[in-house]
Amino acid sequence: MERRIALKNIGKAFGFAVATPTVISILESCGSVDTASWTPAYFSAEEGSFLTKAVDVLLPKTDTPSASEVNVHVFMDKLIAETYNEEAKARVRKGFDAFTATILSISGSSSLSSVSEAQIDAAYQVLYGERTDALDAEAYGFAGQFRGMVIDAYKSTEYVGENVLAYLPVPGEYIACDDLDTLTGGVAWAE
Amino acid sequence: MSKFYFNEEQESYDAIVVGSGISGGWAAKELCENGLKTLVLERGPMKKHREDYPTANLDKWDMPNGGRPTLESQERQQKQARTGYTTGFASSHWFVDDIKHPYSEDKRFDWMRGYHVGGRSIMWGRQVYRHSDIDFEANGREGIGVDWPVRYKDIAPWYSKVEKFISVSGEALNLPQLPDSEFEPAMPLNCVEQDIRERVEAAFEDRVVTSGRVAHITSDKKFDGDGRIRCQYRNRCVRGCPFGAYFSSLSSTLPVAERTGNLILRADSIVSEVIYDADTQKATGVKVIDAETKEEFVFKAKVIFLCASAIGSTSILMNSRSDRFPNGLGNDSGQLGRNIMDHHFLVGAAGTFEGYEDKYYKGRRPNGWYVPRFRNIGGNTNMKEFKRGYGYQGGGGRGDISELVAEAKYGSQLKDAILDPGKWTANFLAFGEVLPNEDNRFVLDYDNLDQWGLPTARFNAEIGENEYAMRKDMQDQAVKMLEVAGAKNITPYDRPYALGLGIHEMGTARMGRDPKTSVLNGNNQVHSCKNVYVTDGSFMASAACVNPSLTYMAFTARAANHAVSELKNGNI
Repeated sequence: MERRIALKNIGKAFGFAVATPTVISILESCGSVDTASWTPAYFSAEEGSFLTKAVDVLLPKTDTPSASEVNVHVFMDKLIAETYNEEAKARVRKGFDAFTATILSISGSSSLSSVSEAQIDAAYQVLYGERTDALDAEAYGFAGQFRGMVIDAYKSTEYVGENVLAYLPVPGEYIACDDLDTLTGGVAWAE
Repeated sequence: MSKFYFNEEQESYDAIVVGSGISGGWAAKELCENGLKTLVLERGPMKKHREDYPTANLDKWDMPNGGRPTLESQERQQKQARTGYTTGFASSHWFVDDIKHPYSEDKRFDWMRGYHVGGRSIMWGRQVYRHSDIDFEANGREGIGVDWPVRYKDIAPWYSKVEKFISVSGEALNLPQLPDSEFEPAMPLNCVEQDIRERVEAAFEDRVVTSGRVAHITSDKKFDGDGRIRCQYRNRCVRGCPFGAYFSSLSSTLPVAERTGNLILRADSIVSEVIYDADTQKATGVKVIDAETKEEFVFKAKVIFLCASAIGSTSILMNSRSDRFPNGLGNDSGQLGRNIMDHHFLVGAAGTFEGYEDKYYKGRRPNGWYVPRFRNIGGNTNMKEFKRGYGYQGGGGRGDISELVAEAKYGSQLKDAILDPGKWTANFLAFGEVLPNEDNRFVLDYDNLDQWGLPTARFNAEIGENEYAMRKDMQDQAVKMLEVAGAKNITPYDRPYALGLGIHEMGTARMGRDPKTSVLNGNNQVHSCKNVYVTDGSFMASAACVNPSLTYMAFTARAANHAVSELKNGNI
């Protein structure tokens, strides 16, 4: 909240109606988490470093930020720590362990901290490709869930909600049917 | 700090209204406008329009963990969470703590409650539909339950009065089974919904697909209350609307009642019983326990309105035991607590639609479509398989990205997929009438007391053969409509439903002509204690298949004006 007010004020000072991505990236550190010194709440430090890479291979940097640039990994770790009950945590643990074991086994890497983004990419080609019986069903199941969580977290961030998706917190009117491009330039409305 | 709002405490009052939700607000407004000094008692804490809507303007990212239910809520709101949509950060504060407010279930009953000034009028679904004579005559015609002592012509003027005050957005259709309201402009159907409407109406003579009728302001017309203006299409209604765009007690009836100078409101006031005087055969007041301090009080009045919701008001009557009424005030018939009804739902069908990829809409419409009842309304609509009928809600929209995500797999192409508006989908979700059945009941459990020493509700109720037979048709017809509309991937569903989840609990102090078989008369008075009126869902002799709040409001307004006239004439 605070940060948005700061952004709006800066927008006014620069004469922008809406803060541009450049302005936002300058301010991104304010109120956000310094990833380098991030200590996960649910995952171990090693798992946290893997998570940071794993979310970015799913949603890499393009003309919009990567997943970790908007702290998707931090959001997910905190979400599990703070809102999953013991049973849900146990399910995540089982799935995450199968998922990471499969990635290590495909990549031939020895540890989650040393596995590279390229190696994760190679593992994703299998995990998000055609299913084979050769792989752990638990790992496939979690891969799908994991992707859902990452997408959800990404779209729930302030940056993506306000700058990447079409943001209109108070629409003020209902237009029942119009051209997609006219209304949002082709993207979905932010929720 | 005084817990009396708007005016000072008095020695006695003209009227006491128990509850400040959709019915209590109307009772307060009508009684105050007629000059009665009215004390409204609310068991929950004080809330004020606008200033007590803490989450109203929050985006997802403004809420901890994107608004997911906290561990505390998961622990303390296990029953409230059965809806699946009410206990997240945005609205959990409007729903009760199940540990603090326990009840028990011989059979599962989903009892969703909001204890605070304004009650569930803040979180309600806002869908408003009139009953017709097809509904009022059904019990008598079929010999089920008791005949309604009221017909459409008796209540129609009160529907109109209520609608002109609350604002009802909708389309006039001139259907015998669903009389038109006093309408404000309808919220339009979107591209896909409009095409589905045309195809369904062309294929089925008996069906109409219209916009849902909702208690929202959709024009610049002025409506009374606390600065109410038109809907902003945020669809954050459940949090409380800072624009007052939909009707609630907080934004509308209570401010108007307050303005008369006749309203006194006390929050944190749990009514434990109505006090009955055998000599005068009237109620003299109510006993109250302060929810915070647990102090006990007696408040006196000439007339008492119970508007504490069906289970709440009925519990108060049951607990009001005296020599004259050993089984609860007004319970000569033994019907108190019986005939619990709701609307059964979670059955229907959904599908996807192709060919509208370049179309979209602007605004989050807090509404969908409505298909009025088309079964058992005469002639060839009559069914052998089941009695009564159902309507469909739901609607169409864009947002299903599951296929795009599966195709994109991961990486930069996945980023494109997740920003896409997604596939168009549409859903026909049926809501059906539940028949009154004496065996569907709750009782007060004196072995399980709450922290105020009051007995708690124990439920034993379930839907029966008629509802199950209806559900089959509810699903089949949803599939048929999607087929003619050109849907792909049609997915029928019929999920387990327990009474209560429709959050339309009603019928536990039914009205009727005969005191031997009913609790209330046609004016909502307790047959055997005429200065007690019950005007929430308790009075419903049958459920119809439509959302009930409009009917509660109309009967409450009518009963309040009846009480004013009876008081003037010295009859009560």
